[in-house]
Amino acid sequence: MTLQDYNLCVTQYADNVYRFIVKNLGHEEDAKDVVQASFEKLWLNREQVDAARCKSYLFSIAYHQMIDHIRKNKRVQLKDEFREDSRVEDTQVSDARRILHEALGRLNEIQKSLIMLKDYEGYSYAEIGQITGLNESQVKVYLHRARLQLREYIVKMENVL
Amino acid sequence: MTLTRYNYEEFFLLYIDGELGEEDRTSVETFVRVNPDLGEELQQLQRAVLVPDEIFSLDKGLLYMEEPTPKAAVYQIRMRAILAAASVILLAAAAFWLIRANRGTSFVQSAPHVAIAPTHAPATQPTVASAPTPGPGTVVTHLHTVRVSRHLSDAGPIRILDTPQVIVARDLQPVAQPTDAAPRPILTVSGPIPSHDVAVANNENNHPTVTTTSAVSYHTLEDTDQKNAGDKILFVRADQVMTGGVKGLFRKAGRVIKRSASLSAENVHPDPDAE
Repeated sequence: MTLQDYNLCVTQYADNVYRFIVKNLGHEEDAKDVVQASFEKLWLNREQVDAARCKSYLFSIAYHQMIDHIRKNKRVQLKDEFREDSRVEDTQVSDARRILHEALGRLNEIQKSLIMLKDYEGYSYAEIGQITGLNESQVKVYLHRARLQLREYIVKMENVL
Repeated sequence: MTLTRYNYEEFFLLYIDGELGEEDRTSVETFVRVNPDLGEELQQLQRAVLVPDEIFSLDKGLLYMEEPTPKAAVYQIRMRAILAAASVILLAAAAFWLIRANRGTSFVQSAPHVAIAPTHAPATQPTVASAPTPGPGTVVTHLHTVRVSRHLSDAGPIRILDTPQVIVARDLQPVAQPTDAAPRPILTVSGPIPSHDVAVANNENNHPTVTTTSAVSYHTLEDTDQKNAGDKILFVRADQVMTGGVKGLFRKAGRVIKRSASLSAENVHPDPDAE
């Protein structure tokens, strides 16, 4: 991985990694620290990283950095600070999104990470397994279980509303 | 595996995760149309999919890297720094040495080419005194490492002591005054000393006195005066007057070495008849 490859990786994936981390941690400053530490590690290991796999490698680093951060700080508090979009949306869509994020916040860290790696980044089960260190079957089981929990919460909340 | 009402949930989950092949996807879509009641469950699962509707932007300025500095350039920079530090140290050392050398030079300039010739010799120790301002007709000036015998005869010259004694005196009357009225024997001193020349005199009460004279001649260790019988020439300081200024470190170093050699006991010849 050359310098140009690294900088291209920054350009293309820094925002994605930041989103992945900040959605998990719910804390912007902590997420920035994790992202910066992740890119530092990527830079240090650039000799061993294939440019074609820099994204998954970066997410893998970021995921484990995030897990370490969570374990160290013991403050897994998904704040309800998901910004209210200023765009004009109907109330129903806004509520659905809010409910979904509430449901997401009820998942454990692994399930949350799996959901976001799948939905936001579009990784396959195999790729998610490489990133998280799980095998493909575990990813599938955990992800399906998480998805069903989300659906259950959404349906439940919709019925309340 | 065939999609049925008993295993549809897994197919639905794989479907929304995009893990199904094209054929299985078509099968799911067909199955939902045939089983609209289960189609509602598929829609509920689709609502559980996160949509990236928020824009997260991170300041990437701190993340970008630049081309690392080549090692050769780093080596050159380090070498330049080392050389600069060494130059500073050398300059400091040279300045320190020059300051010391200039102090010695001024000292030599105040009392150059001093030779002392005693006329009477029952002297033991020369009196040591000091004063800051030289002037005409003053008595004592700089004498360094003069060895004077404790047992000089009346007619004998000043002898060399075993223990060196440094006499540093400037522009003073003798400290110890003779107690009797007998005239003092005078040690004559010659040298190119303008107005505060140096002389050393011994009196009968073992109080050597140093006086100065003007319009004296040069006497150095290389001169034959010091080798004359009877009179002993005590070489006091260097043989040249420093003109000041920097004319080269080696020239100064040579002078210091020469001056040190001239002050050594080897260059002073005691009177064998004195003891």
